[in-house]
Amino acid sequence: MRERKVYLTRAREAGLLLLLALAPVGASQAAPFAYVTNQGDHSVSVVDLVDGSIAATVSVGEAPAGVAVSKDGQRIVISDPKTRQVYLLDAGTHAVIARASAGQGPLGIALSPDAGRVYVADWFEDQLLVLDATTLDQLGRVAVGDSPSGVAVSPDGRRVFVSDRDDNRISVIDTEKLEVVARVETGQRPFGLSVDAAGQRLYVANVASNDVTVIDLDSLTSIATLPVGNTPYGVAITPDGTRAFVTNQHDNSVSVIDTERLAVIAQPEVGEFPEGIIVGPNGALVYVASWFSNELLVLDSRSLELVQRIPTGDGPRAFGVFIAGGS
Amino acid sequence: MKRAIALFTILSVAFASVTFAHGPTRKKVIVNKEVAAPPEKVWAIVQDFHDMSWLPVVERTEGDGGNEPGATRTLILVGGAEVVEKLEKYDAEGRSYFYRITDVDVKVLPVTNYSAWINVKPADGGSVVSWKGAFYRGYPNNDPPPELSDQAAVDAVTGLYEAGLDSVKQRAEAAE
Repeated sequence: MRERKVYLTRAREAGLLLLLALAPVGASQAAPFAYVTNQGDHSVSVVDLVDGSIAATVSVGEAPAGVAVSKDGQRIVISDPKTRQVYLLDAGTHAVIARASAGQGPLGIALSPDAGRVYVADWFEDQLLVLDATTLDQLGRVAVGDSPSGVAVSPDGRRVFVSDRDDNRISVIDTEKLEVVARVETGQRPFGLSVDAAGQRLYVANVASNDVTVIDLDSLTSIATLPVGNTPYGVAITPDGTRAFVTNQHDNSVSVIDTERLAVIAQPEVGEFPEGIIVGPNGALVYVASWFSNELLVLDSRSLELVQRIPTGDGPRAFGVFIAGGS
Repeated sequence: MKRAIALFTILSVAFASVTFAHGPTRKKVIVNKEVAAPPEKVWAIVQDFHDMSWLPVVERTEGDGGNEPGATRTLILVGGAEVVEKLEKYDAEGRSYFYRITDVDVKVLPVTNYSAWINVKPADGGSVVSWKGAFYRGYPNNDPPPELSDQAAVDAVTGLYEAGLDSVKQRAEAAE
């Protein structure tokens, strides 16, 4: 119970800070929520991060997987490779307010920093689709490599990075020209990926080679390959860029990377088959979706202690930025 | 020679794509069986990675590496089909191990990217043995034929786990 109290205090502080930060913008800002896609029971668990309670469980598609939430929390998009659609949720009611077809297997999904565009990787048609984030109308498409999975956007919004899983590389897309402008080799079967807040580095989890490729974004070259646990899946980075966290599906663990030393410094055990991972907006807490054990775990980003377990629906994936302002 | 190498390359590439490509939705199956026998007795039946005689469809097991991570085994099934598996984690104290299939024909078991855990835990008056699997259906693309659908994969794995754990239960309780 003490852990829970500590968590609550911390989370309240975080919530309060967030509210204070947003106060000049308007009093209508919602509480911080996590949107966890439950692929096994066609739902999204909306978790109130102030106390870890479930604010809502929303029925979405048939097998929702990818998720992206805008920095202000006002725009929430979900991908479902089974229905082959993208869904837009209302930030207030959490209900689905729009949906649109998006290729043959929409998976990785990300929003532009201004939340005007949705980028979706189409696993089966090997393309990145660009949608209007309000209407979900298709604005364009870019051919990428084989089985595109993870999608991340640079902080300035000018580039999109896509893991071409079965080509062992990432594609770099210029968002103005909507063209692939570079390709960078990775380890085997790159999947989840994340850019640091400074826009200097990209971290890519390689599912089959059990490592993470670190890419320098100025030179677009790989500067390190870091061995992590078995079957790495998702990557999260603290807002200050000093730590990266990688979920290892087959190890039930998270690898913690010191980004200055470019070394794994810890590998705490978490729930079974960890997948989606994100660092909360103030960097204090890390949230991990455990696909097999149906829970969202909350870890202290410094002590790495488990501070809370939150039950979700069946098969949580939470693949993407599933918390507003998360990284 | 060049032609032979080219052919080998084509085959390897084809094999690689078959091995790694998968459908959109990973599925899971969990089967738990209560057994009226102590956990050490139940564990003794399932603990050897190179003896899967407790699964009725397995005729014999070949392989090496003992119970160390990295060990491989080939299950030779009744009728001659083979399944190749690799041990990933082994925890004798916690009575659990984790392995994955590295090669199987979807006609034998309609799954891809399959991994599974087996563990035995103490319970009231005995134990619970669990078999849990994570996998994709046998058909990697959209619109699978019925025999390679998500449902077919779940049904096949569930049937396997039920039969296997029923057999473990029977053996453990008979030994009591």
